[in-house]
Amino acid sequence: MNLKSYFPWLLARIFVGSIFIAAGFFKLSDPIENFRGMITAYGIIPYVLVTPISLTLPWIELFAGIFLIVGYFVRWSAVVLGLLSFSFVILIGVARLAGTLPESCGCFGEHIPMSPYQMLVLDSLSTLLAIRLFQIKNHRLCLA
Amino acid sequence: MMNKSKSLKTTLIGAVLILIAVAAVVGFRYAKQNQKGEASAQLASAGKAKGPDSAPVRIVGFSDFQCPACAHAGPIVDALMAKYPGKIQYVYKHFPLRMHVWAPVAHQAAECASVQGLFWDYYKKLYDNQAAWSALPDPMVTLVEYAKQVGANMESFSACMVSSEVAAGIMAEKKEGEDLQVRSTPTFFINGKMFAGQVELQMAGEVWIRSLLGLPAETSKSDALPLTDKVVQQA
Repeated sequence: MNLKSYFPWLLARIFVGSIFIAAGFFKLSDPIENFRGMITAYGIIPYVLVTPISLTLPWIELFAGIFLIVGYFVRWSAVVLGLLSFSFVILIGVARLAGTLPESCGCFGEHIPMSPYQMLVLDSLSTLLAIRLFQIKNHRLCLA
Repeated sequence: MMNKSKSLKTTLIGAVLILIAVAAVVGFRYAKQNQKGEASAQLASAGKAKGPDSAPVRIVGFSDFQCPACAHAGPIVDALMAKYPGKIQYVYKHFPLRMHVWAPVAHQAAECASVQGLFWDYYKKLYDNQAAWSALPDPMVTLVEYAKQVGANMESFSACMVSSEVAAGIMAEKKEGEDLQVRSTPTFFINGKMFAGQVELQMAGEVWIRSLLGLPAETSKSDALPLTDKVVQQA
């Protein structure tokens, strides 16, 4: 794939990566208690998992987002972000069925207020783009 | 040899990327932490309180009258106060969220009731009937009716409802919360420690309260607070 034909996929990397960098960074820049509150607000995640998720998820989002944009293990970063996006789609869907969907998704630590339905669209799009980015074997403009 | 060198280079790139990201987060958090230090001192100011001033545990709750989770947090606070009588003081702080269109007027009405010493009666009215008034195209008439029902002097109440000073006071309380990095409602500070959401208040908050009171951790669930029927929406 030449650079010109790869350009849309570079934009896809920047798009998906930016979403997760923002999500991770905003959560990390706030007290962890805010993110814990958002996890428990969904009402379907076992309480025992709240601490491990709140401690690890924002860092994973941040690192994988950066890696995807700068081209560091692009395919594996896409796998990680695709799985995260898909798990958020499932989370929002299950919380909707359980009737416990919060008013705000909390995805960006409340810095960018988005409803769970807006986030559902964004996560679905991210999942699809991440799948395609994983399918591409020879990425351009990569560090490693 | 070539592969080893490439592998080292790859590892180094990864390490540098991680280091830059961590440094950015730590630097940003450090800058915000300084703001938080200034804000913490202001939190001791008087508010709408119930429970003794001498209580060893002080819960400061930033809440929104139109937020469903806040309506469910009230009974949890009451249950905690009943479980530890005389040990807890609860202070209510206004935190009207932008997403709730009727929150500013509801908070203004509550503050106007507070001026007449009727805050907790009005608070109960607002949360007990939240689904009704918040769904109205204009809840003003209903809010006035609630004020009558709790026995407010309507002349003073009406004058207060158009007071820009009262509105500014509400926004000042919200700013106080924002300086403490409150992002959602309800958010509680128990002797300065933050707990976001009613589930955290019920789970981790009570553990913290017991440790502040020098009580052992509960081993039996029979002593636990009554659980709400389900976890509700957090704004």
